[in-house]
Amino acid sequence: MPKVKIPRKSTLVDMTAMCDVSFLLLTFFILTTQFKPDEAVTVQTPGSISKSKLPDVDVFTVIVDSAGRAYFGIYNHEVLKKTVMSAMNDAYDMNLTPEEINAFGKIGSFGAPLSQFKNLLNAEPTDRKDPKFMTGIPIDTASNELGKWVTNSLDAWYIMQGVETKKVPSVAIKGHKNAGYPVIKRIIAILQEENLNKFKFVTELKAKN
Amino acid sequence: MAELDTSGKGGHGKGKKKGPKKSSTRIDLTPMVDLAFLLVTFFMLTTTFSKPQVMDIVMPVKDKEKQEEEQINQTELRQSEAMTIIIGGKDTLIYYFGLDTAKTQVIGEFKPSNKAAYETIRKSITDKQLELEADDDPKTKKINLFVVIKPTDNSSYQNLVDVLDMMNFTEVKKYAIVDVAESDLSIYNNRKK
Repeated sequence: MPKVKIPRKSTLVDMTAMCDVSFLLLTFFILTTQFKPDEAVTVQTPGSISKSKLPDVDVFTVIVDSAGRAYFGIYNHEVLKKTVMSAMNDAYDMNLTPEEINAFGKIGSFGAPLSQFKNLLNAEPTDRKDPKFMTGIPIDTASNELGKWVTNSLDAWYIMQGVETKKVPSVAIKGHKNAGYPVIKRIIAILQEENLNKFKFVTELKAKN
Repeated sequence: MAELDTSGKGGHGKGKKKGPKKSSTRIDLTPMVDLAFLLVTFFMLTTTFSKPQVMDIVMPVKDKEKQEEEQINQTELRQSEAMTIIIGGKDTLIYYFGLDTAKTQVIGEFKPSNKAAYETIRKSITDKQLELEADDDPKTKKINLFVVIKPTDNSSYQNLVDVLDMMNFTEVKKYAIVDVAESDLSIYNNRKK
C-alpha cells in the first residue's frame, strides 16, 4: 500500500479580499464620522425616556455644570463662530487681533468671562481648560454676558440664513443633574429675553420601566 | 518580499514554461491591511454615532399683552383637571389635585433609583386620567389633565427633568413650568413629614 502523500500547502493567504473589506470599512467610517465636539466640561445629564435627537446644525448649546457655572458653545460652524467673535469684539472693545478671532473658530464651548477672553484665545489649546478660564460665563443681572453671547450669536445666525428665513435656531440646555433649578431658571429667562422659547434639555437614555 | 503562491495546482492551467524567470506581480498586502485596520479602529473610536438625546420644552412667550391673555386662560383652568406638583429641596415633592390642598401627597427620595416613589406618583396621575376619561357629563367630557409644575429654588435640575419625564411617560399632553407662589411655598413648608 503506497503511502498517502500529503501535499504541503503554503500557509500564506491571499490578503486582497481582506484588504478590500478593511478599506471598505475605512471609507465608511471616514465618511460617516463626526468628531466628538470639544466641550469645555463633561457633565452628567439626567436620564429620560425621550426619543428625539439633537439636530446637527443650527444649535446653540448652554452647558451648566454641577457648581452652576454656565458655558456657551457653538459646534460644527467655524464661520459662524468667527462672525460672532468679531461682532463681540466690536461691541465690547475687546481689542482682538484677526488671529485671535480665528483661534476662536477652533473652540467648541467655553466658560470664560469676556475679561479673560484675550488670554484664553492666546493660550495653547491644551491650556484652555485651565481653572482660570473655567469660571463660567457671568449670568447675573449685573453683568449678563451669556445674554450678550446669545444676542450676537442670533444676529450672526440670522444674517447668515438671510432675512427671509423661517428657520429658528434651537437651544440645547445641557445641565448636570446636580445643578440647582435657579440657574436653569435664570438661563431660561435670559434666553426668553432673546425670544427663544423652545429648548432642548439634553438627557441620557433611560430604560422605560 | 514574501511571495504569494496560491497556485498549488498550477494556477494558470498551461503548466510551467521554461524561460527567463518572470518576477511575480503579486505583492504582500498584509502591511496594507494592518494599516487599514489601524485607521478603521481610530475612526471607530473617535466617531460619535449616537446623537445626544433631547427633551423638547416649549415655554410660553413672554410678552406683556400675551401674558394678560394667559392670565385669563389660567382662570379658565378647571379645578377638576388641574394637578399641581411642587418640587422642593432634597428630592422631595408634593402634589395635589385641583385646589384640594388638604389632600396633599408627599413623596420623599424622588430619585431615579427609587422606583417606589415613581410608581406612586405615576399611579396617581394615571388614576386621575382614567377618572377624567370615564366622565360622561357632556359639559366636562374630553377634559385632559393639566399639570402645573412648580419647582422651588431648592430643587435640582434632576428633579425637574424627572418630573417632565413622568409627563412624557404618562402621556400628559398639557403641562407647564410655573414659578412657585407664596401660597404654594407655605403648603410645601407645612407638609406632613
